Amino acid sequence: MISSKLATPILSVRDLRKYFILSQGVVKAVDGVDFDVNEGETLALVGESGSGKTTTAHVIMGFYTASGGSVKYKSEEIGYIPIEKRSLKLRKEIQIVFQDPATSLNPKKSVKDILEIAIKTHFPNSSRLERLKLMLDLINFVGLSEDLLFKKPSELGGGEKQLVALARALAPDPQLIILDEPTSALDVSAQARVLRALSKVQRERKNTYLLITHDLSVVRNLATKVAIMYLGKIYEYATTEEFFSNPLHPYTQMLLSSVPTLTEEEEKILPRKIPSSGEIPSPMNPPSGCRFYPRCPFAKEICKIKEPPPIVIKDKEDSFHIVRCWLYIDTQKIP
Amino acid sequence: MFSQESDYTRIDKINSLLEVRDLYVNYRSYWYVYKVLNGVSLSVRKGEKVGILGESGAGKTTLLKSIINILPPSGKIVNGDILYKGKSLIKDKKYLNEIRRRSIGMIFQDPLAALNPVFTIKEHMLDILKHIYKNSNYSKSDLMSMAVELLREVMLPDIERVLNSYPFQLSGGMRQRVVIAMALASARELLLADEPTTNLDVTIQDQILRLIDKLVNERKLSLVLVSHALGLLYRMVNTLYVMYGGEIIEIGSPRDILKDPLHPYTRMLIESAPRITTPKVGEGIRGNPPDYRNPPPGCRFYPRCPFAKEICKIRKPELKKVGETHYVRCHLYE
Amino acid sequence: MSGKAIDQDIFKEILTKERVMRREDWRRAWYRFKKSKLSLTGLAIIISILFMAIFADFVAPYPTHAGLYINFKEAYQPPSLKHLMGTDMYGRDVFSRVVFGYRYALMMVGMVLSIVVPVGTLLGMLAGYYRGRWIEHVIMRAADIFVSVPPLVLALSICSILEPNVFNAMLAITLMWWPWYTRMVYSITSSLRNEPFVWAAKALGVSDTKIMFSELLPNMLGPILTKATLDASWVILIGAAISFLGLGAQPPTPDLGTMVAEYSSYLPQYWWMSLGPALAIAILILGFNLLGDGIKDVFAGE
Repeated sequence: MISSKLATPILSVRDLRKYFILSQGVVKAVDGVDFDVNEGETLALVGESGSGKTTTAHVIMGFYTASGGSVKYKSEEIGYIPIEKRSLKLRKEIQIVFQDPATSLNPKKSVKDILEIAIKTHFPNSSRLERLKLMLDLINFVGLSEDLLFKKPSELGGGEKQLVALARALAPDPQLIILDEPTSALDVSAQARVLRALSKVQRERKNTYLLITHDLSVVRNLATKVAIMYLGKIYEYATTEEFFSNPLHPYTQMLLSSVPTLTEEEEKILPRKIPSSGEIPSPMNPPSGCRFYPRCPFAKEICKIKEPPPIVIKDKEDSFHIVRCWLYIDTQKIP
Repeated sequence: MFSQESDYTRIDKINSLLEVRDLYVNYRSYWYVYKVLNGVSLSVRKGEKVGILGESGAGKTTLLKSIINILPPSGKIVNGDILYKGKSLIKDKKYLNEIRRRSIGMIFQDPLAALNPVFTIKEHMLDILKHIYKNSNYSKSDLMSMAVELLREVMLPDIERVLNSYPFQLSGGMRQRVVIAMALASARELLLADEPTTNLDVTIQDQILRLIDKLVNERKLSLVLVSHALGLLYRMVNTLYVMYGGEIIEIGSPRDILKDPLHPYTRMLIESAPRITTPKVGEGIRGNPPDYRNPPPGCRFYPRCPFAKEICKIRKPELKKVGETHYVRCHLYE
Repeated sequence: MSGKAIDQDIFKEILTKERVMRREDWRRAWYRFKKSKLSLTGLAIIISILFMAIFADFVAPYPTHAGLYINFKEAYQPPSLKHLMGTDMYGRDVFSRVVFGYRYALMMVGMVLSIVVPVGTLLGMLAGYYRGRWIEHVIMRAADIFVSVPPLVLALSICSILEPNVFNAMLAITLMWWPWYTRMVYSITSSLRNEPFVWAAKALGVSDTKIMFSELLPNMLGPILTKATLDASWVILIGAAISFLGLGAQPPTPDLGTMVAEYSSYLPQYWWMSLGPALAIAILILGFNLLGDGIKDVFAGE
């Protein structure tokens, strides 16, 4: 959809597809997705269940291989290399923090063991002392105290577990970190801790985040760019500022309308324009034309027939906005 | 039993529907005793909508489950009382069963877990209705039409198909609507809802909350809604109880709590919630919820409280009235 | 350099803390075990029997009676203070023979399990981890084949083909036992393998072998060890059955099963002869079962 004017993006996804073939039919989980992430940026992939955001992340990670399209990391095609076949060097560069910290840490291991394996794998020639030092650095860096080293995951709170998962992901010194709903399973008081740690890490290490989430406030806190996904496609793609000041796609507006508001400030950002209706259809049988048309209050005839193309609304140096919706066909900016 | 005079004065005896008085609930495991609820008092008047705000581990689910006594075998009410329309639900088992059948309904957090995977929705509904109306002479077709009516009220499309489906064949939103329908069948007066939207997508959450709101208003039900999200509770309830560590630490109208949070926990909770209006992140709250096996003897928030004083360590503060509708349990206000 | 000295101090402190933590883990495990008096009884039984087996030469009042010994004067004596379980048709002290019989029984258990548990577990892990690939099919189908033959029939066939002795009896039991481990470990591995912490390890670049042994195995130790302990009793029973049918240890070897067989022809008149070894088998099995329950408690508590 958009090509970056800056240096080569660190992650470049073009027309990515991932289909799952089941006995009942084909699930088109990801059906043509394009985006770029530059070094030091945070792209948020936002969507609800069935949107394909998690699958996209898993393809990038190598847990699945792509069915079509390309995923380039530092210009190297990785979309078809499963995680087991990736070189250690590549695996070092891309890491992931999972949604549920309770299952992403081995319940039988202490925090020290968990971190030790991570470090040992990438620094096999390190001495015990060096590993310990790195472990302590990581633990302190994410804001945890050293006594936690000897605890097992079951003895830690949700926020602490997630911070351990973050420390583990940082051990190989990666460039790209995929955050898979990092705060969804946490209480509010822990969310703030984790978000602060994530910000700090990015500020100091200048790494890149691919953030998968359905929580728009987390997007506001962390992301520089936002892509809204629905049934396997991206329907709106913009820089965060631009996105929140001018949400265009009806689905985006429905998402924003569903966020419960507390203050007038929030009311302003989230005007209750479109109350949510309907449910996301099965990805096995997506609607023809624009996939959102069955739920869209502004649907026109053409929406049922033809898929809207990506329309560039804004394309400036530090701010851009692209939306896939027939409503905006006339406001298209000719570059 | 009624040691805290300040708790008692809150309760309006005339219109009261549900009264939880100084409830203490423990869980026993093989090894330990978890002293979860530490003297919880709550009141719901007819037509009142009460919200309970708290994070995981605060004891909110325990509190709800105690009301209709569906605690697991390891849970036990060790002190206190629960009155429904003036009669004790704890002391009178028959009354409790009556109330469960005809007065109070409950919506659970995980619709998939609340439904039996090997029964169709039709079987679920008939089973429940048969139990509720066991003393009446309704025929099976009568019960069926009742079931259809309930499913229609929760705005389920394609009722015929839903009735013949198994839970796994329905989407999360549809399952939760079924659960609500089932709760409505027995909720003539009071509806209990334990985080009814937490496991659902954001757009579906909104629909379900609006549905609950509509049903509560139409049927003039009282509501006890439990959630960890203030935004959700804000627009749904008239009175808000803030829970921490098995205690009620602040009570007020949603406006009171939002505009003027008194308890340090409440304040820190509101401040640290990620906001959609600004990229700045709150501080969060250091530490973890109390270990119920060995809870702090005084105020249970003491270990994490930036304003803690010596007295907080020793004595549990009392609930004090600070505004017309605003109460707080904190030594800072005594 | 001072920096290095401080590092060393921290280093030592952490290592001590780690040691303390591990010791705590063992202590807690033991606490969980000893909570149940029955488990302690089981442990006591097994330890005593183990002691008897190892020091059979000293425990048995008449060690020479274990092998070839004939003294018709003392034959057919009922239980007395002199002969705790009486004597058999050759005048041998039944109790002494039982003590040596324990030695054979435990040896058999030890050898069978020490092969079956590691091999079965390894095959199960491989099959479960590489689900969908050829190795899974090969291993599980082989397991299916061995499982589909009734265990005793398989054991007996092997023993009749080969020479009937203790070693071949153990071989037969080993061959028919491994699939049960493989299946159990296969099922646990296949479900664990999709847990996020395994994917996290893969993402980190941890090798497959390390994942299997370092991440998955610790999570399976509970069921494996519990099963092993409970299986011990089955191994003994099957071994006894094989010997009873004459295909295992041959007389005059004081194998418990063989003894039950030999002496059963003297029932009901000389009841004590059969009763001795039969009781011995029962007690040993009881011991393993109680011990197995205890081990289950240790892992269940975690």
